[in-house]
Amino acid sequence: MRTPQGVSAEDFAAALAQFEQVVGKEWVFTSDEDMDLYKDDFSPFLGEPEERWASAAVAPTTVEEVQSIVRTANRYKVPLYPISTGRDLGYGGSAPAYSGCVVVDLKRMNRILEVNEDNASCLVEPGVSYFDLYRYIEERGLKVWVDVPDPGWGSPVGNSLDRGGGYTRPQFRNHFDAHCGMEIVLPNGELMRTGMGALPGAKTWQQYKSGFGPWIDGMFSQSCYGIVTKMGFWLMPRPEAYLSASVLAARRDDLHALVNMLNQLENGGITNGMPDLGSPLLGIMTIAEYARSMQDLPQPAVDPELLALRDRAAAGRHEELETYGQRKGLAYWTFDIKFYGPAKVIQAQWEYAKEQFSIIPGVRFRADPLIRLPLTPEQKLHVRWPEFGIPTLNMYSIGARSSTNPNPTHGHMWFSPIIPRNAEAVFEANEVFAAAARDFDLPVLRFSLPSCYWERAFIFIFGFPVTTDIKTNQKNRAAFYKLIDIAARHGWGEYRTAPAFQDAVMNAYSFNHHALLRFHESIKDAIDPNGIMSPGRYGIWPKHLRASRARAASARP
Amino acid sequence: MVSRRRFIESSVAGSLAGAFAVWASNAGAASAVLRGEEVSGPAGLGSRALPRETKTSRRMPLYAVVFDERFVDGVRFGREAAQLGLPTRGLRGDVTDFWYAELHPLWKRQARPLAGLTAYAALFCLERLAWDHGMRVVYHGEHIPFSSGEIEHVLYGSAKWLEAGHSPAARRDSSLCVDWPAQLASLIAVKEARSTWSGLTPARRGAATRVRVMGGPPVQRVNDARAQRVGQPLHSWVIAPPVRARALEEAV
Repeated sequence: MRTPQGVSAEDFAAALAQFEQVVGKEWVFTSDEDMDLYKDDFSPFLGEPEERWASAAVAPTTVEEVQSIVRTANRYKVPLYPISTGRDLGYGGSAPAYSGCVVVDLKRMNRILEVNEDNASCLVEPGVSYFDLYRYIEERGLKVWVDVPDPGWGSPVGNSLDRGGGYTRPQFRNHFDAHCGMEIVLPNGELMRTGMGALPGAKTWQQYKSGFGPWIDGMFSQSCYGIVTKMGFWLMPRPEAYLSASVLAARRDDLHALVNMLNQLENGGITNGMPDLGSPLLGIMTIAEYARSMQDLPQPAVDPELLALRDRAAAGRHEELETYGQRKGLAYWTFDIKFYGPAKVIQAQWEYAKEQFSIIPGVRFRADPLIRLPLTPEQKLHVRWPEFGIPTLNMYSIGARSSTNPNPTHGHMWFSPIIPRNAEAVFEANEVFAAAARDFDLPVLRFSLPSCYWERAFIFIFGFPVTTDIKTNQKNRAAFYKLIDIAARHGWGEYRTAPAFQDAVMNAYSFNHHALLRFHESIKDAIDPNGIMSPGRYGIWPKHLRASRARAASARP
Repeated sequence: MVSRRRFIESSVAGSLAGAFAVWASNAGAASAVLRGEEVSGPAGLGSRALPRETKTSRRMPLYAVVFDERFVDGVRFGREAAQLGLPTRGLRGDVTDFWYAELHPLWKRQARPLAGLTAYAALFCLERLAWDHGMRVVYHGEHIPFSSGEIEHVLYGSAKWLEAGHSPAARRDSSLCVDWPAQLASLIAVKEARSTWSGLTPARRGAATRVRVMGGPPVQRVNDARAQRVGQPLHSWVIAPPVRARALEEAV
């Protein structure tokens, strides 16, 4: 058993004893074997001294137990790190941002407190998984969907607090935006409710988000200010029908009009599913195409002429690729757009969308058959589940070693900058990141397309491999840090990152001499003077650790 | 550096050889675990979500033997297990259906052991899901095909398992390893008959036994257009409620 830095062995033992009194001896864990489970499976520090570790874990089952744990932690100045289900792979997993924390594992707080079909909302505890909530809804035949991330084994509370995303309508696939009301154990152990939950006896906690006065819910996402013990969400009323359609454009420059038109249609509520970009000519599949390709079907060989033309296009010879596409009937771009709603309305929306996209010369359209919901068992075999609010683990079955993937990596860390939603930004980001990849001797970056999880902005999500070779990981980390700086110089910031990079990303949000971080730190000092709550999470350190963290950051390569 | 949609081709499920290289380098640590034989108790952190009423008992029947039906060896393993009277479930890589329809509701009520021969992805998911129900991988074998036709078996796990005298590694007899999937199924059937799923320790780093079997048939693809590519290692595994370190300490 290891002891948190700065905590005496006697104090730590006393704290653990009190944790045991609160939750029972069987729910306090200290053995190395148990602590291994709280390491980040995809740690970029795999096998290095900086790999994050937990000193212990405690698994409460009630809010009162959480409060007692927090009060005990304050008494002995033991740092805590709450997790819900701890599935945040690629962004840190269940490992604490600061080694030595006691993980407060909330999986046993797994009660679904309410699902209100009429209001299309729910109230859940942090240990409720997407599978739990989906099962609850299915077993009762409720006509609501929960928007799920992919993979879907995490929890609505955890994923939304990390500001994850899904695949249905915008107001639901932005998981934090879909929340309505929280209950939080503050760093002093006090219990607080936000929104209408602050009004005793309120009947509208999951109906009206902001309550009265400053709306502070956002402070508890990606943060270190408390332990969220209940959270409400708005659910998506089950639509009558679904349509997936594609817009196909022939020229590279058509991307400008495609994106502009999409923005108009999405911002105007005409299309309401998650759009997705692909490029048959560049060999970039849409998510739907990718999912289909992963059904173990043999992939057709790529025409060698096309491969050569892609190389030439990368060097600026786009016209030849366009000509090839016109000759072979291959589009330069495909834009998948999705519709949820009444069948009649969807048909009208699609017709209107086609009219609007028709300003693009030579544009073509393709639509899958309209699906009336709920899905039949047969339909369920052929659709991509997250677009229908169904959690899946299928993603994990597609990364295995194969003839096309002979050297799979151990894991990954996501580099996820937000860029403007326009074609200029897509082209510029590709140039910038491709140049950086060359400079840092990373695998050659082919042309990449961003994702459309969020309204009004694109997000690029690049995977850096985590390997079992320390030198490779060190090299990749160094490149990651530099990419954060390069992105920031172009006005692009990451939306989320693993603890290894949270200081660096927060440092990039530096307007007016880091006014935002200084504000975060002021709040931290005021509400958590002992610095026991998730120290270092998202780059916010308690006062007593700030100097040492600054030194560590300045020593970084 | 690749985009997310491309990256998942080469990431999550593929820790195979690399991880094993690390584990294999940490030999030893097997002897002490024997002192905890047949000790039952609340399972480990993973036990973080283990309902109190599902404490382990001496008789812990195997819930199912899982096999990946995309592979000849997987099918061979599953068929042999079925012939030996074990309940079997076929997967095609993804565990979601099996998890949602069977394991999730089952494990909420009772932690039940599971064995399998699958691609790594299924093990990766099931192991982590099992942690939440107090269970661990107590035996793990990686079966790595080489273009030469050899298969390397790298085995990790409880000394009780590895020293049982039934594993290919323990026998070190290439002729017996030719039909290793069937032998593996037989071993699981023997274990099941002896009700020895409790008392095993988690298959942690260390206790690795590595044996390369000369001339063994490579992992083959099923004659099916949807079959996985040749060359993917298969993983044999047993998930069960383990003996916890604390239980060991109290037992000694």
